[in-house]
Amino acid sequence: MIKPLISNKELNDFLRDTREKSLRFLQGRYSNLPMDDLEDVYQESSIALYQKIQTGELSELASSLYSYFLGICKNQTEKWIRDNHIQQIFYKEETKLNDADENINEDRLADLDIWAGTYEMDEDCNSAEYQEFLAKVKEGVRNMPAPCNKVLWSYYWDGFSHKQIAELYGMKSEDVCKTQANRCKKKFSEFIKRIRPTYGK
Amino acid sequence: MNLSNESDRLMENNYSELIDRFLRNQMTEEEMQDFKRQIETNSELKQQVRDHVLLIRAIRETQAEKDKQIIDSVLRESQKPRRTLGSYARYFAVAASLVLAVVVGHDLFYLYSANQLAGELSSKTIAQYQSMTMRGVDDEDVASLDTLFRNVDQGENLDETIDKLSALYAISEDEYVDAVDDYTTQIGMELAIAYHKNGEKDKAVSVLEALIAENQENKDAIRLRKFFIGKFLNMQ
Repeated sequence: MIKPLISNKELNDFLRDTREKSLRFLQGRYSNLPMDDLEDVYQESSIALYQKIQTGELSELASSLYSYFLGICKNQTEKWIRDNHIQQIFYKEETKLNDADENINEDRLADLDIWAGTYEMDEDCNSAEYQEFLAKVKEGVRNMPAPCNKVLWSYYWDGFSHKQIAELYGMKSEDVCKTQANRCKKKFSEFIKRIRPTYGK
Repeated sequence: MNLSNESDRLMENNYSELIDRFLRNQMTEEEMQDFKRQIETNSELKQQVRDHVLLIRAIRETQAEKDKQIIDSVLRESQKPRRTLGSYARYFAVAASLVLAVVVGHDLFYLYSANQLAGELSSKTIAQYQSMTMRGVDDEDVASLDTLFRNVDQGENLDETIDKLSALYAISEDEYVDAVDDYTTQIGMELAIAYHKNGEKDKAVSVLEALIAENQENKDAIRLRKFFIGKFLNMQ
């Protein structure tokens, strides 16, 4: 009868898909807090995210929804620690979130458009052939299999470093993540080669 | 190991890392100039940059669309009417009459109820609505329950909305108004959220406690109360 506090399917799917890595992030960062407490914090963070969206605070969200959510998780946990007067927290090495240096710089992307003459700069970029190519590329990205989707989306959209991604997904090290990312980019390049428009340089 | 292939792989990885360092602003001015020169003179690197930028743009666009879909979906949901006709048609009709009474005022309510709802509403229920209007909730600015709920969702006109919801909540709790029992919890939850958004946390908690006292298995009220009084009261 009553609408659950988070009844929205899309948001629930998002929270379900990101739950494991979010808890892993909190566990890694606040290693002496019991999992039960972290789950409570996670639940409250989910409600906070829902309420922020509902009140329109995220209508003009500039970053990724997930990195924003992880910021909420972090703030909620630290507030919980303060409110519960927990003295000793054994932080793992500080890992920044949304550090400007870790995000893709749009001005730099524009530089590359000019220097390398990227597809957007092609004379034919408005042609039907190019649009079809672009649609295939996006479809390829949407259907990217794991672990490429996890690694590349986190790196290029959430703005996480390889080290952070390794922590979030429980990889052995930053280098493992980097190697995986390089493999995925190579696969993507091969995919592009197969579908590249005939006018492509 | 094929040394040539290995060398190609290392070269590719090296290019890829160069591109990423550049895009994340992690190069010195000197390195950037060198990188630019390499792109302009090395066709292999140039093609890699083209594909790399395409990958990044495709990821960012598809992920941004995905995030936007989630946000829009929540916003849409919070704006749409909470109930439909159907199995709750009778309750809805009763609630609609209640809202209409608030909208058009005391006199018109009698006229409307006499003409349209006489067959549906019991005399006791009508008496309760009359009682409600006598208690000062017949404000013409109130358009509907949905409007009140939407006001709560959007944090608009909170003082006025709280007045209306409080009156409706008080009425819906009344033992004579069986027909609107269905709405008691919904109105109570909305009232609690409205109080909280208006900075009246104690009142928000009181409403939730009343709801919990009525139904100790009301998990939404329990969770919301915990949220309001708990450790996260002043969340960012």
